[in-house]
Amino acid sequence: MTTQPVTILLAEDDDGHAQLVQRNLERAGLLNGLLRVHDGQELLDCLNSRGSSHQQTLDEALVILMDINMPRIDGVEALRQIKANPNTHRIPVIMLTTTDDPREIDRCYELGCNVYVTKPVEYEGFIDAIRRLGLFLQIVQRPRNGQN
Amino acid sequence: MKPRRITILRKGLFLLALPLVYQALFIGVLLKRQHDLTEAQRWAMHTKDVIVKTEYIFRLLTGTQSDTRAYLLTGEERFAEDIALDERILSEEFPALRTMIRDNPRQEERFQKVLSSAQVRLDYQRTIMETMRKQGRERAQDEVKKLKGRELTQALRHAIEEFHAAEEKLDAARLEQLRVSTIYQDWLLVGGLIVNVGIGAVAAIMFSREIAGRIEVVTQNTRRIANGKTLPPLVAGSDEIRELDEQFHLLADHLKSARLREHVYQEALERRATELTRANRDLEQKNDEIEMFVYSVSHDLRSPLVNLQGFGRELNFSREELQKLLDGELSAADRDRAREVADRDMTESVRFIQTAVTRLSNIIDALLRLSRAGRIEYHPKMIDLKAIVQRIVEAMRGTINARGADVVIQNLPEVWGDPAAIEQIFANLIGNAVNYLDPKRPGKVEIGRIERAVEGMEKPLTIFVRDNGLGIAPNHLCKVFAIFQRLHGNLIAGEGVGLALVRRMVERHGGKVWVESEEGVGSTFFAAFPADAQHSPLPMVAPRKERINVTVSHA
Repeated sequence: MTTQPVTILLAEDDDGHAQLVQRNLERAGLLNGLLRVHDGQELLDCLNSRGSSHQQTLDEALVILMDINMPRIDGVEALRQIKANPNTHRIPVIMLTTTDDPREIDRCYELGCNVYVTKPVEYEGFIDAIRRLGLFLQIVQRPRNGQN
Repeated sequence: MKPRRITILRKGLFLLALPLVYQALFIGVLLKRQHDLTEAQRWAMHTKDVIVKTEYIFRLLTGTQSDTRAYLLTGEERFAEDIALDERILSEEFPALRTMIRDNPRQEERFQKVLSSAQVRLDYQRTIMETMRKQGRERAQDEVKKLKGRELTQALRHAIEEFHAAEEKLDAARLEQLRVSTIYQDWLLVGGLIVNVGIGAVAAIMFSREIAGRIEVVTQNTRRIANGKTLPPLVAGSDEIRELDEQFHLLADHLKSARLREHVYQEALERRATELTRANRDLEQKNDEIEMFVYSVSHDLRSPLVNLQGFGRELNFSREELQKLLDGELSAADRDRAREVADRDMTESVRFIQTAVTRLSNIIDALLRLSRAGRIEYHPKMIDLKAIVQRIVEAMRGTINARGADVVIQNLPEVWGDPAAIEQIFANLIGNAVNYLDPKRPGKVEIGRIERAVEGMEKPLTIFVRDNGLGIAPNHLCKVFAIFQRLHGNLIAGEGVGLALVRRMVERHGGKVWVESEEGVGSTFFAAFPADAQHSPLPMVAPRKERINVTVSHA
């Protein structure tokens, strides 16, 4: 078993939604490092600052959870920029949104999003997606704090 | 009563009759001439007959002269019998000749002379014969020697020759007359033919001018009508062609007025089509806006709902956990965990649920406000905009001072509108300008008037609110007036409904609102209003007295 530290980068403007995502990830046992940003601009800034350090980019595995409706730079634009940048285009992206508009979903997949999750209807689906993504990435789960 | 008309039938009959009548007359003249010629020929023949007869008689008489001599010489009765011939001539031939020349009194006179000469000579011959028979040849010869017989014969010959000469002269005259007549007849035929051709030509010209030419004009008129050209004056005359032309002129007039009407309708139609196209475009735009609006609203409603549902479940999880903890023996660790669940998780969940409910309530309030902004009755009048803006700025003085901003109010015009709505519009615009100032530099807000051409508006009053604040990214410029779009995150409290309200209110005033902005430099919001009440869609609710005055002035 290889241990690989994986950081989840959560871009979400709504504090409540961010809190829900965090709690459910914890409940699912995905206790990786979670870093939260409030909008697309902040997310891109964060990725750029990481990109400037080669060591971190190579060593650290990243997965991005991102809302579509965000101020300044929205999720779709952020996704486009991430997938257009050779430094970041390999990072898996899960889109989280309240809308199930098929056009929006198609657009996100066209831009290269890996998983698209609609909240809150598919609440279990959302957790399931996180879980499957974890398996796919062969994330080694660390035991939860306070549990054996 | 209708005036008597010269119809085409009459004209045609006239044109046909003209040569026919002429030809009939000509044939009549020709027949008469023919008759005269025949008569002349007959008379010429007659004269010839008279001459022949005269010569015959003369020969006979000459013959009797020599017979008398022979009788005198021989005394043979055979010759005496021949003398009797004279008598026969006198009794038979002379009357025949006489009847032949009865038409000519002068010739008859001469004939009478011949006749009497012949009679005298016959008497003389008889006397000689008698003398010879009774007194013997000697006496008779003596008598003859007196040469009386010779004289008589001479007289007779003379008379006959005179007669003959007269007849010859007559013959020559008649032949001449006949020749002239023949020539005359020839010329008559040639002349008649020429006149006939002339009349035919005249008929043809008359036909051409009276019928064919005018029909051609009418035919061209029909072509002109077909090509939509104007017609020349009516053709002359009072016949069917004229009537036809009159009808065509009427038709042309009808067509002209119809074309004019059609043109008017066409123009109206095109105007309507343009209006419809514009209305359609406006509707499409409105439809897009509504779609966008519904999308935004549903998203914004869903966002707190996600929290409600999510934290509801979280509360449930917390409850289950607490129950599990309470079911067993409570260890110290369990107690700590229970406290943590209750204090941290549940408190947090309840807080988020409360926030979500407040947010939902705020959204619904905002929707109601927006709805009210579209329905509320406006009471338009001329408003001193500067006074309103000054009042707004004074009301915001606290915030402005807190941000250390400088607000400049230039000269502002009077605007036709609803005072409350206008105040709300500028309160929103100035409020936004102040709220989204960049904290990194001294803020400046400027309100003034600017001349700008605005599509679909005549001489608009354009007011601007300029700031040197955060500015708006180009990809967000199109969304600023949409509902619930909050470009600067949770920087400032609000529901993102202000600019949507501003737009709604400005549009109800018949105006337009738009923004020019550069991120990091600042934004300028523009609101264009109609120049005056006449250009405004808002109804003029004038006092009763004034309305009466207007009516009087029009009367």
